[in-house]
Amino acid sequence: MRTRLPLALASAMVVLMAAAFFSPRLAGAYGSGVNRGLQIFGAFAAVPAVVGLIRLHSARIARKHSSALYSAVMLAALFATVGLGIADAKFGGPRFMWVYRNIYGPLQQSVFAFLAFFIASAAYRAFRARTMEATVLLVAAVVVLLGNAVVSLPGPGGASAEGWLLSVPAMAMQRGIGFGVALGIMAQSVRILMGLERSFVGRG
Amino acid sequence: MQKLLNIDRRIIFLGVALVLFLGLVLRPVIPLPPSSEARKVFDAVESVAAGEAVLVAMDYGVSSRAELDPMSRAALHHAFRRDARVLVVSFDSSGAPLASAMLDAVGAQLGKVEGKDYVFLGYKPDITAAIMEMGTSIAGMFTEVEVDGETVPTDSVAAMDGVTGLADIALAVEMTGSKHYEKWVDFANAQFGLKLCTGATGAIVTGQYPYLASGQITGLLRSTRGAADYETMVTKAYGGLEPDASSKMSVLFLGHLLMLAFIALANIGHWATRRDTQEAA
Amino acid sequence: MKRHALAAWLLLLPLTTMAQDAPTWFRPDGGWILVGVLAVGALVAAGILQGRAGRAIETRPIAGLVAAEDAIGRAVEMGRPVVFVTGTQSITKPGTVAGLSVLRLVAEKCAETGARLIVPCIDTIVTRIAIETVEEAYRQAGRHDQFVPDDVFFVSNRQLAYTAAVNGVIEREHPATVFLQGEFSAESLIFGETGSRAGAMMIAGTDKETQLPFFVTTCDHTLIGEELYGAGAAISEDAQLLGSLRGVDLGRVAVLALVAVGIVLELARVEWLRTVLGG
Repeated sequence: MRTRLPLALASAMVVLMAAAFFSPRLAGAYGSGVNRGLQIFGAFAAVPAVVGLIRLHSARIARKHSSALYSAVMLAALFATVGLGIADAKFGGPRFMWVYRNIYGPLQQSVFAFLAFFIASAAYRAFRARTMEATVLLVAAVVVLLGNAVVSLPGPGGASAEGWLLSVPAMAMQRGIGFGVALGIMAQSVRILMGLERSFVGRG
Repeated sequence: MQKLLNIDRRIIFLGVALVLFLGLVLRPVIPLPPSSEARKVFDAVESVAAGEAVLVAMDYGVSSRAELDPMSRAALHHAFRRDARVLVVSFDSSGAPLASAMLDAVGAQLGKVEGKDYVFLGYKPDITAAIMEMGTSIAGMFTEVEVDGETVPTDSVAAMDGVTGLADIALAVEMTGSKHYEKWVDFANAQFGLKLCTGATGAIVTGQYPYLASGQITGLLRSTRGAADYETMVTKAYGGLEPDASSKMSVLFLGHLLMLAFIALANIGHWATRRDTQEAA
Repeated sequence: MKRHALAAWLLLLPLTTMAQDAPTWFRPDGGWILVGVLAVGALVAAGILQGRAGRAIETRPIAGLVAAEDAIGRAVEMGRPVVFVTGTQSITKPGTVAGLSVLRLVAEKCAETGARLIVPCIDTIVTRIAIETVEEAYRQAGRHDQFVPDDVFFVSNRQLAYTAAVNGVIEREHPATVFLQGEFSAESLIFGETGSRAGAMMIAGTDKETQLPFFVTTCDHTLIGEELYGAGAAISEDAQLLGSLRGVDLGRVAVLALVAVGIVLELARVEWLRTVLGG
C-alpha cells in the first residue's frame, strides 16, 4: 500500500492533468485546485525540512565543526528574519521588506554576479581549437561575442552574423533537443501511468 | 607558452573586475545597430493606437533586475508615450512590489494618472491558472486593485474600460528570467490569440528563438543588448528615457573584449605548444 | 496494480464534473497535439509491452553513465564524498523526477562501495523523497548503519541561496565527484565552475537546452536532453524500462519522417501539410 497508493495516484494524475491541458473547462474545474494543493503539501513538507535544517546546524555548532561559524550565521539569519516577520504581523511588512531589500536582494544579486567571472574563466578553458568541432564552437563564440557588444559582423541574407547564428543553427539545435526532451518526457509519463517509474516514491 | 594555457583563475577574475570597473568609469560609447528582434518589439508597441490596452508582465525577481529593469522601464515609457492604457502584472512574488514601484515612478514621470491611464493588477502564484482565467476575465482573476492607496473592484477602474479578457489587449510585453514565457506562448498566445513580445535574461533568451521564428512571439529583447537597442529607439523617437541599459553596454563592451583576449591567449598557447610537441616528435 | 490505478482514477473522476463557468471542453488548437501525444504514447507503451514479453533490447552506452561507476569508485579510493544535486526545481518538473531516478542508482552504488553521499535539496518534497531513496539504497545494500540522515538535507527554496549553499558544500567537503542531474537555470555555470575548481569529476545532465552549453564547457560528462530521462531506464536493465526507450526511438523516427516530408513539401511550395497542421 505504501508503494501502490502513490503509484496509483500518480497514474490518475497523469490522465487528469493531461486532460486539463486539452480542456479549458476541466482546467478551470480542478487545475488551479491541484496547483494550490501542491503548494499546501509543500508548506507542510517545509516543517520537517526546516526542523531538520535547524537540527543539522545546531549539531554542527555543538560539535564545534569546522563550519560552525557559518551554521551560526545561518541560524541567526533564519530566526531573525522569522522574528521580524512575526513582529510585522502581516505579509510584506516594513521590517521584513527592509531585510529583503537591503540584505537578501543584494546578496542574491552578488551570487548572480559570479556568472560574469565564471563565464570568463569557463570561456578561457573551453574555447580552444583542439578539434574541428571545437574550432567551429570557437568561431561561433567569437562571432556572437563580437556581435553582442563590440562590432556587428555582416551575415547571410543581410542579417547580422550573430543574429543569423542565434536564429538559424542555434535555433535548429534548440528545436532538435526540444523534440528529444519532449519524447523523453512522454516516455517518463507513460512509465508513471503504467506504474513503472518509482523514483518519486522514495522507499519503494 | 605553456603558461598561457594555465593562467590562474584568480588572475582572470581580477582582470574581469578591473575591466568592469574601468567600463563604469570610462563609459565608452559603442554605436551598434539595433538588432532585428528588438526592432520588432519597438514596431509592435508603435502600432498600438491611443487608448488601446497594453499588458506588461514583469515576471522576474531581484536577481534579474539588472538585465530586465531597463527593458521594463523602456516598455512602460514607450506604451505611455503611445497614450495606451497600461496594465501591469507580475507572476514573481519577489518582483511584484518592484514592478508596482516602477509603474508608479514611470507613470508619475510622464504625468499619467493611476486608475485612469494605468493600474497594477497584482501578483498571483499560479501563472497557468491565472492566464487561463485572464483569457476570459481579467477582473475575474484580479478582483481588486489598489488605486491611490484605496482597494477598489478591478472592473470599476477606468483603465479597464472595455477590457474583459486577453482578446481585448492590443499587445502584451513580458519580461522574465525564468520559463514563464512558455506559459504566455502556450496559453495566452495559442489559445487566446494574444500578440506577444518578450524580453529575457541572457541565460535563457536563446530558448525563445524557436517561438520568434514560428511567429508565436512577435519581437524579442535579448538581455542588456536588447534593452539597450530598445532604449535607443524609444529615446530617438520620444526622448525623456534615462539611458540605463545603454550605459551598461560600455561595461559589456570592455568585458567582451577581455574575454576575447583570454580566448586568444589560450589558443595562442595551445597552437604554440602543439607546434613544439610536433617539432619535438 | 491495474485495479488500484483504475480505482484511483474512478474516485477522482467526479471532480471532472465540477466544472465552473469555462467556455469550451476542448481547446481549439489541441487536435493535432492530442494526435501526436496519443501516437507517441502508444509507441512507448508498445515498447514497454515488447520488453515485458521478453524481447531483448540493447541500448547504446551513454558516456556519462559509464563514467558514473568509475567516478564513485574514485571517490572511495580518494576517501572523499560524492555530492548529488537533483536540480533547482520542484518535484512538479519532469527533470527533477528524472534526476531522482539517477539519484536512486547513484545511492545504490554508493551504498555498495561505501562512498559517502551528500544530497543538498532545494525543494521540501524532494528532500523527503531523497532521504527515503538514499536510506532505502543503504538498507538494501545491508549497510543501513552507514546511512547518515544529515547528509541529505533541505537548504533553501530560493535559487541563488541554494546555489551559494551548494558551492559552500563543494568548497568545504572537497568531493571527488559531483553529479548535477535535473532541471537547472542560470546557476548551472556556477555549479560547474565551482566543482571544476574543487578538482571534482563533474557528471551533469539536464533537459534545459539553454543550460547545456554551460555544462558541456565545465563538466567532464554531460547527459544531453532525453539522455537524462533515459538514464534510469538504461542503467536499471529492466526490460520494460528499456522497452520504453525503444518506443521513444520509434517516436523519433516518426518525427523525423514528418520533418522530412515537410521539408520536401515546403521546397516544392506545397502548403498542404502546413495548412493541415494549422501553421
